[in-house]
Amino acid sequence: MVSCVYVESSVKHHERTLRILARFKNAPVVEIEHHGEVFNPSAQNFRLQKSNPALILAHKNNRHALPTPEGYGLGGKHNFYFSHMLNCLYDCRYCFLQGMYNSAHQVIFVNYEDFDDDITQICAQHQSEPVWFFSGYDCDSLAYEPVTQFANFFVPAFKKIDNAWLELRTKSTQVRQLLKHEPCERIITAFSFTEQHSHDKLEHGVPSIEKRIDAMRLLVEAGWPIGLRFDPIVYHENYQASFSHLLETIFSIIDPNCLHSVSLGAFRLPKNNFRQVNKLYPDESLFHQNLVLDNGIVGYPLAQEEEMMRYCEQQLLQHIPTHCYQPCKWHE
Amino acid sequence: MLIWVAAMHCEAKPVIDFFRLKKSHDHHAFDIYEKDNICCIVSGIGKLNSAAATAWVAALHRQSRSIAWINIGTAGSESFAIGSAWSINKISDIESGHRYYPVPLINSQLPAKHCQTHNQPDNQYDSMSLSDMEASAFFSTATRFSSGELIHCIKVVSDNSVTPCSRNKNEVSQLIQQNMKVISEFSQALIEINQQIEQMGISETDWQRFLAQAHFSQTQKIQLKSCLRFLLSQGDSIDSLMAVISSGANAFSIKNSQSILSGLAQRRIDFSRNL
Repeated sequence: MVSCVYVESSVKHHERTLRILARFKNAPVVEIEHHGEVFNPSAQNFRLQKSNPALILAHKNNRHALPTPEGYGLGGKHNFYFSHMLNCLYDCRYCFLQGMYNSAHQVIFVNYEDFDDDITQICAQHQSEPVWFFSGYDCDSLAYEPVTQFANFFVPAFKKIDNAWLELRTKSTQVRQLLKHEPCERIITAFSFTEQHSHDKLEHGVPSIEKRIDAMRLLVEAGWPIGLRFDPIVYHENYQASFSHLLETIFSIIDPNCLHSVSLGAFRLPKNNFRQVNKLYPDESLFHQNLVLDNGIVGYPLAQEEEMMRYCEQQLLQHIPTHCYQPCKWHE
Repeated sequence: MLIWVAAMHCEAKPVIDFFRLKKSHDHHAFDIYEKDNICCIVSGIGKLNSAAATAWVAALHRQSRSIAWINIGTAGSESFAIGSAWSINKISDIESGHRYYPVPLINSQLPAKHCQTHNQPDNQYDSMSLSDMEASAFFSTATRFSSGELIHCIKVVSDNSVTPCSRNKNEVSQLIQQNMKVISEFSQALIEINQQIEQMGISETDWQRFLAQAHFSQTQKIQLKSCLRFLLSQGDSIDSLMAVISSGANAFSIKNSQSILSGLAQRRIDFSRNL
């Protein structure tokens, strides 16, 4: 249930808006001119709003797909991200989204067709080369699928562009819509995991590890390529045993040969995001661990990070083929 | 701290009576009624008065860790029933064209409506919204002191296209009085949200006690506050932390700012090692 639905005047008659509003019949609806009126004011408390966020239905006017920040990608040459939503359904304490926006409300841009047009155009500019698109940068790609019908629209859209590759990144179990479609080797559903202790302490509202593994299994059985994202690795006294146990749990069910890619990265946040989340959650232990500032990024001291990465990498490579491993090397 | 802002005494009276507030004789710019952590200020009618009173009372309570606000008053409407009470989820300032959106965090029995704020009494009622003379100025001023989640407006319909505005003060008070149960429930929910913010802060008195221990640069003050807020959230008390700093047997007994910060930082890392 959402506390309120704000609707931009320009999309109040949009078919997708009407369908979403039909799901929230009891929520008050407030008409607005532009989502920035509600989303951008500085006098907002993200932490308070996160307890009961509102939904904002809006129109994205331009810049539908943007080049990814440096270092973001899976080895491809052309990498773009696009966000049909701003903010995530889940409340993960390590996530940079907490410091990203003033508001915790969830924005859905309902004009998917305009995103599709831009994606088609970008792919046409790089006809003979694969172009990667990442949809899980400003939100969880699938968590709100019953409301957004995002995958239901974009899976067919990507299928029809031969050089377009899509990463759906998620912590959800919302694979039902995907399973209604024929699998496509260019659409990778990447599941993010932290080990059990970090999951318990830091991932509020995220489905259990077991349920997410089961969602992965359903996709694998249907022939969909999947990815694994062990990012962030968070330090605690028992992280090694707990990470090893996570891998054993996953690979007792998932055949490693079905994996498209696996990435690994230690906890880190851009300096400004770190400052913001630390202010929002002064009581959160994660932000008071032994962290250092290095080149604009707050993370573990290099030696500690290397040790953590080395251990996790060794464990991981006991399970997966080397070719699908993508370490996250942000220091380089 | 919860502050009620009402334009007229007759609008404030039900709040003053319900919470048994006492008139403060310390201040003369505006009439203020207080008890414990609740305060009610009578601003006078109109945007300018409302903005001035809101800013003035905020300055008066600048030592508070966090202030929650409610603008209580009457409003006109084309067709809503006389005496019906509404929370406000959108405020439009008719003259400036600015719009404001109180954050709908509180699960209340009060239905929510749009309110238009005018410079002059409005006899041309809008069919979809309420009309008042203070909400936009109150809200835009209060957001300079508190975050939007803590600032709300509650309006009770006093006049509509059938019944003109009453000039009888007792009748106005009565309209609000009959809604005080649901209004007080709303305010209690707001107080609870505000307490979440208050609990994360350090009182000015305690903060000054720490600052008195050494000379801290601005950067060090930020580090010190971050450390203290975390350690207090983990069960340390102000006195126990002061004892740690003051203890001669402690490793950071030399009281310079860097050694105090190093000691507290180590304690913080020890606490957070296992998440």
